[in-house]
Amino acid sequence: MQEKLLQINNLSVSVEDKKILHGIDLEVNMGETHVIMGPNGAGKSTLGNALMGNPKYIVDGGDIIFDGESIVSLSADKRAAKGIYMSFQNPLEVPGVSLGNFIRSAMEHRTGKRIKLWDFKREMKQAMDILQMDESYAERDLNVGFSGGEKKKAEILQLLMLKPTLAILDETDSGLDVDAVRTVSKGVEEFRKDKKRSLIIITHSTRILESLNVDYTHIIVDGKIVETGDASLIEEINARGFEKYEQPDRREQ
Amino acid sequence: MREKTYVEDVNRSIYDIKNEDKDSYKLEEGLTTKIVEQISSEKNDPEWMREFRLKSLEIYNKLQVPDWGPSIEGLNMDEIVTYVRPNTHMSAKWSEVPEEIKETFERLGIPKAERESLAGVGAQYDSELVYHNVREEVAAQGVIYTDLESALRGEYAEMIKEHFMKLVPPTDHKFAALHGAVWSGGSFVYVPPGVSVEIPLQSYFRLNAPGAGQFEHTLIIVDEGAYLHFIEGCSAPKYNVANLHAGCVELFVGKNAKLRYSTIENWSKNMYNLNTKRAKVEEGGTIEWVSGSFGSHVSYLYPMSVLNGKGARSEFTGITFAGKGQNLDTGTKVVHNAPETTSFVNTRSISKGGGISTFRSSVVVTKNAPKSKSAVSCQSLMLDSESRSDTIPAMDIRTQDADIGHEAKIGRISDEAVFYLMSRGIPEEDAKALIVSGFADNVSKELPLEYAVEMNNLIRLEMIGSIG
Amino acid sequence: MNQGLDIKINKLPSPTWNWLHMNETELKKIKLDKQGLMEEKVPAGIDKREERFSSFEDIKTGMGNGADILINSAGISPLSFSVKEGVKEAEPLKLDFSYEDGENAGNSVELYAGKDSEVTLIMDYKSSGEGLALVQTKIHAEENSLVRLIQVNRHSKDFICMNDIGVNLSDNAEIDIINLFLGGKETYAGCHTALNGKGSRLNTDIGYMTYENQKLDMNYVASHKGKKTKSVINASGVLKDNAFKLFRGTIDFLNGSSGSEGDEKEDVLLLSEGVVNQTIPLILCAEEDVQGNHGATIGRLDEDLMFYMESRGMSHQEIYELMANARIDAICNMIPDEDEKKRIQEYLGRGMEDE
Repeated sequence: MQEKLLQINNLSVSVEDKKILHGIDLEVNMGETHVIMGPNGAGKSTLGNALMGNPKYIVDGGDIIFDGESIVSLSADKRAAKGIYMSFQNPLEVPGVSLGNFIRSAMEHRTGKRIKLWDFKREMKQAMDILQMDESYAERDLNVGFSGGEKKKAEILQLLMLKPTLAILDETDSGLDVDAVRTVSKGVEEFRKDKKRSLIIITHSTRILESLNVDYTHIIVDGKIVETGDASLIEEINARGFEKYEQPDRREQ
Repeated sequence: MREKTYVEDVNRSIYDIKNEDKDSYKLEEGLTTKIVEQISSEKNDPEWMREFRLKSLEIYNKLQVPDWGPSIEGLNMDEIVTYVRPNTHMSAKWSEVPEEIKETFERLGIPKAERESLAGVGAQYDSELVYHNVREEVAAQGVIYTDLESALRGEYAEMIKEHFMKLVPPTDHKFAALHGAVWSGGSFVYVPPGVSVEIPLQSYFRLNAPGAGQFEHTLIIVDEGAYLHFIEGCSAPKYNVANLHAGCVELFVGKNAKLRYSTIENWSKNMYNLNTKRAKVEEGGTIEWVSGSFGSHVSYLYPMSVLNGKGARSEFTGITFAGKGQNLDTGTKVVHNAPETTSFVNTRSISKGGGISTFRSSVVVTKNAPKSKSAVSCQSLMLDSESRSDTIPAMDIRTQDADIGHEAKIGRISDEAVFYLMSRGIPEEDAKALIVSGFADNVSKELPLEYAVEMNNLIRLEMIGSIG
Repeated sequence: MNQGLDIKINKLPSPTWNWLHMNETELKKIKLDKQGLMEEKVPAGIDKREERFSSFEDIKTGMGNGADILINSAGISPLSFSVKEGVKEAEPLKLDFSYEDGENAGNSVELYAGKDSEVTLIMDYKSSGEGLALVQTKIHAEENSLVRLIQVNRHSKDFICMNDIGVNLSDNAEIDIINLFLGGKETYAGCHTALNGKGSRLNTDIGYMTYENQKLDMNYVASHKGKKTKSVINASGVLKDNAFKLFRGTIDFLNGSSGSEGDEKEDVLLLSEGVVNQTIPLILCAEEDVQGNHGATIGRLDEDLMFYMESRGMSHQEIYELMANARIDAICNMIPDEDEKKRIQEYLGRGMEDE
């Protein structure tokens, strides 16, 4: 793994012929935690989806270098194999595929090795304990009938099991109550115990950040990074919002 | 990837037959009184059966081919040798089955399954049963599992005469009449009152001769309060000429009895599968159909439940996967003919590579069936735009006091779901196969484990061309 | 005078088992003698034409060519209306058809809605005594136009009503169809909508009250050809006594109709032992990227609802009547014309109670 894990150069992205991101530059080194904040519709989730390779999100220009290699032309599964993980804002329901079988099959693809059922079950139990998830969830169909909080926990469970080098958490804390945020945070802390792992946290609130050491904070407005700072920037946003960064004509709308 | 089964490419020439000779559908040449009499004498039929066959032939000649389903123009009766008998007698020991035939069944895993998970096995090769055996402890309970032909002359002769083609009369449709005339092979099962057969019985049908027909008759009587799970498997190697399967299954479910009838059909893709299955259920009884249709060039398959006693129930769980060159018309029929009867239908169909799948059903609730309930749910998945998927469900309700629900859905695999799975490192093809297997889990969770695995392999094979 | 024709109508787009007798309906010795009487109220924005639109011959209808044969055999000339490009007429075009005892009459109506236009067409049928009335309505809606078609069958209990509709929709055109079937000894209704244009939309609401020995035989087809087209067919009705109803409803996704959606719902309340309720909802699909749904609930009222209403002191009979009326009222309330609503209430014998 290279020290300079992720490098985004002048990245422009559009969705359904609408330009969302206009020239994003960002560098994430191994072990760093970056926070991306910004008002609704600024393009935060677009950045996450573009990094993960969602085919709906078209890269119009620029490049994404991960671990020394351009990944722009790679499909999502190849990116996952290289160690990128995104926790979805709205995890999809997949009937007929159990959460347990799905994670095991994803792990086998990731490592290219068969995983013994016993080893898998043990590891799964540990991760589920951290997230205070009942073991029976492993038998349930992936996300089917899960509540919002359960879905988010299942996303973090996958994060812990798949052990990526770069995790993108897209609004993982949104819609959760205080207890659920605490549990999810515990999962993220567990992930960060390995100091080589990096995190990009996309959020518009700050609750999930309380227990994490944030290295950098970026503010995205209208598809551009308008400000980069350290963790103190979060407090500033907390106090004053994004108003100062938004263009006046936009505010009037 | 490991390959479990070698799958031959679909040979275009079967489809070309259609174009060569459009008007060649002439029954007289394929099937004559002489042929039917010959079959009857070789079978050593009782007199009533000989008459029954000839009567059926008459009906067959009068009836028209169906004018509503997939085309069967490619089925040229002149080319169908209706009766092919392998050079062997039925045995109760695999060691006595000719080597080549035994090998075939071994490759299909039948003797192994018999040792491990079945209470009895019947194996039919072309027109004849080559093997029939039932575990001693099951036989000791008074369960009869034998070939229908010897049963016709044995202790249960009267019972068979009383039931044979009473549920599916030869007048039902043209291919039922054909069956009545040339039927051959098949099994007879009788489960005495109160006996519960804990492990399944299985019949396996293998059609080996090119251009042949298979017309086995399965007759199952589950007496009052008894239980049975019967599994039917079918396969055939691929030839360039059309094969025909016009079997007939008649199931009699007694008072408070329960029968589960599972089928995984994987005929080769030159097969015309014109099979008729029907169950009559008495008071408090239950019929459960589990039906997977993967093979065949053309299928007409609609297992029917006649709910004839108060509180009788039927459940139908089905999956149909129509790939390239396949036109699979499947579904079910239910007749509610007694009070408080219940039917559940839950089907999935998948179309891919130009395949056509049609879900066809009818739910009839007669005046005799107040307080009846029916719920039909069918879902279809289109995997590309060269394929076709139709849903044709009919309901005819003639009592006020009924509760009838129906829902149908058609759609595609969601791109978002594929991306979600891919983002966890699963390649696109596998992600799609996973979603399709999940889509089919209504059926796989109803099957014994080894059959569910087999079915998922079939899906994977259709989706990716290999078995993982 | 002719002896009448044997015609086949309301053919199911994809047939099924013949023993169900749902594939089509055969009418024996049907004849039309004359053009039916009609009173019209034409608002300023709508033009009445002298000639028919030649292109309208290609518009397919739900009954199929059986209805065309009848119209042609009686030499019935169509009434043709058009709305010019950009005209949004707020007042409805109203056509009141009334038929006399012993009549076998037919009418043909054509409506052309120009680009960006808006028009509402309300057609009301009434009659006395015995007879037969066939009305065929063909509509072509150009780009971005919006057409509302409301048809109300208030025929006498001994009349045969045949109502046939054919619609072609261009890009982004929309049609809302409301069909309310109350009267008539036998009612045959066909409706075929070709969603040819990209983004075209169809909304259909069908309401019926089929009592005594009435017979209702329907065939509604939404044929999706254009991309991103959308159809909704809702049928809701009540059957009582010895009523017979057959509802054929088809969503047909043709190859190329990607991004389209079709939705069909049926809700039937059965009030008596002697009713016959037949339903056959088809979804035909030759395109991957589409969504089709169908749902039907037939029979009794929901037990929880029954209990709830009983707990408020209502009898079974009262609850069923209330719910039956509620179904018809729901459709009636969609009609954007107070006069027509009043006529419906009068026909149902509910008269002027709130005046």
